[in-house]
Amino acid sequence: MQSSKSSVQTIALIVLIVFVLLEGLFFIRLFPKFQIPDEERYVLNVMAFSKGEIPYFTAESATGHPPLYEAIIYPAYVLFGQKYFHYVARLMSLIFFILTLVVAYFISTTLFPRTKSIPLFMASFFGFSPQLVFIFSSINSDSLLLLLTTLAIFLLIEINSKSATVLDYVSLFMVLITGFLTKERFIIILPFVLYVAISRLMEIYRQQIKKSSSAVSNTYVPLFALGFIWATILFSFFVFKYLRQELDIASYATSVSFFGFFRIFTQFWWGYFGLLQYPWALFAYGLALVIFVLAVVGLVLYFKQAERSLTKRWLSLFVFGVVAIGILVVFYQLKTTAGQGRHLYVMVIPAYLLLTVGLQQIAREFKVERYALTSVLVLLFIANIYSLIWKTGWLIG
Amino acid sequence: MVNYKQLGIFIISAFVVLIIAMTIFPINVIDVRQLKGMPFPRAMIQTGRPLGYQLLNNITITQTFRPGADNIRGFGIFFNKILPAKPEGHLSISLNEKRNNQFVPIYKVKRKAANIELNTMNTFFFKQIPVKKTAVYSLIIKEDAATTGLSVYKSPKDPYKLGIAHLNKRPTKHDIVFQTYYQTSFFEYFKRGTKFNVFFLSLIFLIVLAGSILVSLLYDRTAA
Repeated sequence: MQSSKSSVQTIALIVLIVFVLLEGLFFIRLFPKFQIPDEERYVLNVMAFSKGEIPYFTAESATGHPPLYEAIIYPAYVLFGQKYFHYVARLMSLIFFILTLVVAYFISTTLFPRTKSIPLFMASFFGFSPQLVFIFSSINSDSLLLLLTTLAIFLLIEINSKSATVLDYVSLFMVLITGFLTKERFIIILPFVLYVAISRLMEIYRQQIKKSSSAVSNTYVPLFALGFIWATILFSFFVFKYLRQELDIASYATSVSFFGFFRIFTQFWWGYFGLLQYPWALFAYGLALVIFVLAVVGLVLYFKQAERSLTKRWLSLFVFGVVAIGILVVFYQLKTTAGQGRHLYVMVIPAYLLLTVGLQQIAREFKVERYALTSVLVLLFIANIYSLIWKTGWLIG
Repeated sequence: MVNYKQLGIFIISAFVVLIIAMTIFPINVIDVRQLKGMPFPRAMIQTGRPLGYQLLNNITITQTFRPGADNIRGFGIFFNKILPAKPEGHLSISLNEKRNNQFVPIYKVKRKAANIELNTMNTFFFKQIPVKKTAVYSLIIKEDAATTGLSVYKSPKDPYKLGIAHLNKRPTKHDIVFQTYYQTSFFEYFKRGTKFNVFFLSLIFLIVLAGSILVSLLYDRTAA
């Protein structure tokens, strides 16, 4: 019976992946070259590679970001030439997105092993978001960034929840290095790393106390303290150099626009990215806002009622991550009037998982568990079709 | 396991609702598109200078065009904010029809400069207005004396051959980055036949199928 349930879940996940793949292919073909924000900048970096330059290191980066993503898509430029490169590179982004969906599903099953509806709903929530499928089917390092952030979170949860192997640590190290070489926004992973590192060190320290005499264990304390101070000093140098672009923006004039904040909210669902993409009707955003508020209320109830557990600790960290990235987006909006919903996407998996838990909790409070998540999924499903048919401008004909 | 009877009901209901929606609700289709066929990199939106760059107040920009459809439902204009200046003041935008050598407004809108989107197509939709395919129309953008930090992008070349941009009534060798929209029904649009028809309809079919299976799984507690 259990294997039957699991196979149904697997089939559902496969159906979802096929859907995301086809919808992504549709966007890839429908949207002409360079009509999704920043695509031309990434292509300029790829062209710099073909001239023997390494953007960001030996030449100026057209994107302003490190060039790992461009290095990964560069072979497609060499192999397929300018005619097909655009499609292949977009397809590679879409594959990163699909891999993210799978990793996100495993994160949900690790954190909620008994509540099967949460992983399935979370994956559907993610896969059925037309905005995400669209933006991650473009040439943009956000797709790789999202995959690496999600992978890092998955590995950190694994390390935090069981006896980690050397392979886990090596994998995490590799993911962290590649993440930092992809985009500065990856820095949001550091609080998660710090939390797991401190937890592991405390655990090791406790084990040492049990095993050894107090004299021996006391030697670890100054060693850890010294290591921490050195790590902080090195990290401070790194942060100032790494985030110089963001720090420069702090000197810009401040401008407050309610419309700008509304735009950020709309961009989380659908609107104002590509030149052939048009916002929903206001009532649709209103409905999205109602679902969002209900999920937040449900989340507050969850934190009030849930007992201390690994899941609750990780959800708390997710809240921290989402709020931190939200502050960054507000900062961009205030300083450049160009804050964008897609800057939140690095934390979209934690955000969607939190929203899912919140919705599940509020549904439980009102005893409508069976209908609540399915109703939200139906709305997402309608939103997807609505965006595709009525909000893509219908350029080609 | 999946409850197949329930799944069947979900799929049929979803298709019925979808077909009704596609029949009743019209779609907006791009008619005149200055950006069509633009070369790398992204047509000049990046490399093309804003029209009226640093002359941000008291200017009037006019773009003429000839519609390809028998109605107009909206237009889009690509604006640029000149950072770090704060966008202030108001813009007046009008759609005009040429009658007796004069442009007569048929639609007007006023917008705060602060509410104009950065580096994207700002769209203005309205109730559809019948137009003549043979007539000349124009978009006129007026920036008032207090307007700062805002301009309209121009193309470095002249990609749209049926019209031209004017800066303060003087013709330029460029177009502004703009597009116009007409309204039609989904099925009317598909009658024209595009290579995307089969692909798009398959996608819609898959959305309905995938959505129904997932909804059915979540709804059925025994499977979850």
